[in-house]
Amino acid sequence: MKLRSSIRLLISGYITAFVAIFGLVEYLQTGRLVDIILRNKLNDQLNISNTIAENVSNYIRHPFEDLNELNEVLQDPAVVKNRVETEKYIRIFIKNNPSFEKIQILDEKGHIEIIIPENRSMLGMDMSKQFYFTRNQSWSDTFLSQETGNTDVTITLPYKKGCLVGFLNLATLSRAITLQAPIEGGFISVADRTGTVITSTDRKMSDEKINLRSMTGITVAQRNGNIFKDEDTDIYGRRGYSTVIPVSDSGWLVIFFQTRDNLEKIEAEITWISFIVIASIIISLAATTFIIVRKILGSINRISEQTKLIADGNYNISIETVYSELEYFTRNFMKMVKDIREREDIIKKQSEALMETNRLLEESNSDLSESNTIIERSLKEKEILLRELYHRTKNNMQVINSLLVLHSDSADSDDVKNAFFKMKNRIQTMSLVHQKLYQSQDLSSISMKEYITELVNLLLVSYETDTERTKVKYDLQDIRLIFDIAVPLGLFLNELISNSLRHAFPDGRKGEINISLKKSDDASIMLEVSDNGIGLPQGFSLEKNSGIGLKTALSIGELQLDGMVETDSTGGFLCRLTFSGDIYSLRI
Amino acid sequence: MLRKLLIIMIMINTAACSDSDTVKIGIITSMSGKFADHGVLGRNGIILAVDEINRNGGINGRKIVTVIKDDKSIPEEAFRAAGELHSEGIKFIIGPFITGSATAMLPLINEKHILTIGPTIAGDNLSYMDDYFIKLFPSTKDTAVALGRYASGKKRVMKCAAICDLTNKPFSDSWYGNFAEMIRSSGGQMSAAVNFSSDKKPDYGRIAREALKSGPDAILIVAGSLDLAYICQKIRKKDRNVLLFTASWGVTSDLITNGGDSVNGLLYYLPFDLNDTSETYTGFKKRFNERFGVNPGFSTGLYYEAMKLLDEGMIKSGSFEPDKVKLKLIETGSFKGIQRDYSIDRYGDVHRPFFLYTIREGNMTRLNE
Repeated sequence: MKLRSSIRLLISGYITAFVAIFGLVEYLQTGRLVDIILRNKLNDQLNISNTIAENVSNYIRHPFEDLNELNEVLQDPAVVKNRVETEKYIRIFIKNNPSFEKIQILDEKGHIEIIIPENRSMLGMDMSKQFYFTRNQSWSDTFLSQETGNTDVTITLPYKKGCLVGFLNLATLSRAITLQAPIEGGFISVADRTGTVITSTDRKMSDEKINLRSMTGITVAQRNGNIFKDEDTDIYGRRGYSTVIPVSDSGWLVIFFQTRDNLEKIEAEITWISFIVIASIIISLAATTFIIVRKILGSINRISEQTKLIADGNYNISIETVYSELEYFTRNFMKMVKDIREREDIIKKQSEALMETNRLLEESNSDLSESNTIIERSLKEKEILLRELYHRTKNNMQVINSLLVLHSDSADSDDVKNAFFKMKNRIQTMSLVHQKLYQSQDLSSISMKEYITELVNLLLVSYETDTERTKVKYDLQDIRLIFDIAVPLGLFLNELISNSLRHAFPDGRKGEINISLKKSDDASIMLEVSDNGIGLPQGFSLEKNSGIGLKTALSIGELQLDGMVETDSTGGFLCRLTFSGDIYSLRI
Repeated sequence: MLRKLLIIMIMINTAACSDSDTVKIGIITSMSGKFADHGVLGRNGIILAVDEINRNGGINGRKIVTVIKDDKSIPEEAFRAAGELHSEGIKFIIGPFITGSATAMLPLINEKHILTIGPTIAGDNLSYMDDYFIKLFPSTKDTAVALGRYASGKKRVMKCAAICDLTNKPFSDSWYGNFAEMIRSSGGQMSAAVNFSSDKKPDYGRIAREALKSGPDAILIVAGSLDLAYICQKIRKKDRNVLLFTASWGVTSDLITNGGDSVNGLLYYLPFDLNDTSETYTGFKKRFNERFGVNPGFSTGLYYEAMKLLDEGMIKSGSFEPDKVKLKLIETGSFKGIQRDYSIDRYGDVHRPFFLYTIREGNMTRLNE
């Protein structure tokens, strides 16, 4: 994995974990915050509604009391004496009470006696069918004045035989009552008993005389005469939280409505803000991380590039980094590079020296090679010559042998013939060594196993031995011996075998000759020749009584081979020669 | 968290979604001024219809959203309101309340192809025209001619005076012309024509005196309910016998409360019976009363029918394009009203029965002709 990937993975994990934790915290906090806001708003809603209901109640009560005072004054003969004064008092009253847009005095039949502001064409008009014509003190429902188009309400008070009717313009209600509800999507309205809006923070609702009777709260609040709160009100498709408070005396209603949208909007705003905060943090984090990573990776890249230069053999580098840790690293790295450079210089010098030595060695090798070639050639030549020498020696010995045989045949004496015969066998023994030498690879040693077997066979043939009668058994290790040992050992063996063949089995006696050659761990070699023949005569001494052959054998064994010769004539004859295999060193 | 994301998504997509999920209907009526009582009652009739339609899933899956404009029964205001509605992308309007306002709006709605249904518009000047205005009120010609024929025929009126409110001039002119023609055609005469403007503090005593000066057998009063009531009072103070005729315009409950005994005997034609006892109408009346706490006026039922008519046109045409809806309505021809069936001809003019009424002891009473 690359370092860059690891860092990215680390940063991604970090950001994800951060966002998850922050999101969870934000979610829980937002939920709580919105709930707190909702509760506060509903409490505020209730408090404001109560205040407004009180204000509306005051608004209604005051004009009623004012009109009642006017009525008392108008009916006091001491104060008001005639129609002119009545009209005058009413005009002053309206001037001081602008919420009254019109005052009528109706006679007992309901005809208009006085109307202020004056409208002469209305005088005498029959208002007996009007709801406000009554002898009782009463409030009317609100109605739309056809004369003004305003929403009005009338207050009727008994006046003499007729009644005094005050037309209260409810347009003044919105001025008299401060409706503080700058709530987007919500409203505070004062509605009449039918639910028709008289005044509202939403001007459109009062202008359009919106009827809110579809709100469950209105009928419930009217029926119970108490506050009604609802958290799931539907007004013309808008859902929200409503409070309905009936206003005492008038039966009007104060309706406070906040849309769910409004609160959801607040919630959404909080969410948005949180989102923006989170996003800002993430972006800042990402940007900071990016810059840091870029700086780090930049430093690492620069180090990598410099490393490549170093790898290419350019040690003249400089690395700049912004982080102290990397500076430390860089400083050490540069030190390491310096060390490497110095070491490399040393190695370079040593290499050059070595190369020079190599060059000299190569030259020397070349000379040696030539010398070797010459030596090899020389050796080859010598080997050929030696082989030729052995061959010729052997051939010469064969010639000598042939001469000895010729002389033997011409001799009359058996002793002479015997002497020639023995001489021939001895020369043949030596000749066989030479033959084996020139046939060998190394021209210096021969296989004693082959040599002994072949020598014994030659002797058996030479002595015309009946091999059915005299059997030879071998127990030979394949030991290679050099020329200097092989020749005396062959002569030693020749004498012993010849002795056994001539003397051990007289008179057609059957017997067995055993030849054993073994090499022990201490490099001593033991040659043992035995037969089960007649053995030595009683009192026979080898040193004194034996012939020249055995004496020669003893002499060779003890003197030439520096060995130890042991004999035993029990049940035949046994001779054992023990000598060291390295008495002569290899000469070739 | 999902809910919050949903809120954010809703906030982002609200604007985009709202137009395709709703159909906007413009309402122009009088919510202030002299005819505000009719206007508000009519508007409430639409609200009731919209509530019912939306509760049943809207029109072709779209909820109705109403955009209400107050023309104060002033033609210029109605024209301005129509322009505003058009600029809001609204293609259907219900209203206005008076013929004068409808006349002012007509060129604009024809040019912009805004299908407009006038529940209370009776003016003749809007009849027999292949336009984008559908009248749901019988034409002034029909009712004026019928009342003129009744006056001259049954009541043998030979000398008739007329009092007309010129704030609704097209309506008043049409009424006067058609009524007068019937009087004249039967050998009678129009002895006086007194015009006034209700928006300029009329002197009802003078109006009554001028109308009575020629000694008429009868007086035709074309005015709103308040002016009509006060004029009747002034006339009755001077002449208790003269016959009084009026157009449907002024016939509301306010006429009786403001007119008192003086409006007893007033004769008029109405296509709508506020005392209708049919199951459909009593059901409607009950629903309206529960919803708004008051009884419906005649404008209420007509505005309610207008909304239902538009609903039917849109559903049957499967379209929200004015041309297609209009074509489908004309093609359909016959419709069920909340009191009686009615039909619409190829000019978009309604044909529905109207009946002779009078006021007796403060109650509106239907007469057998």
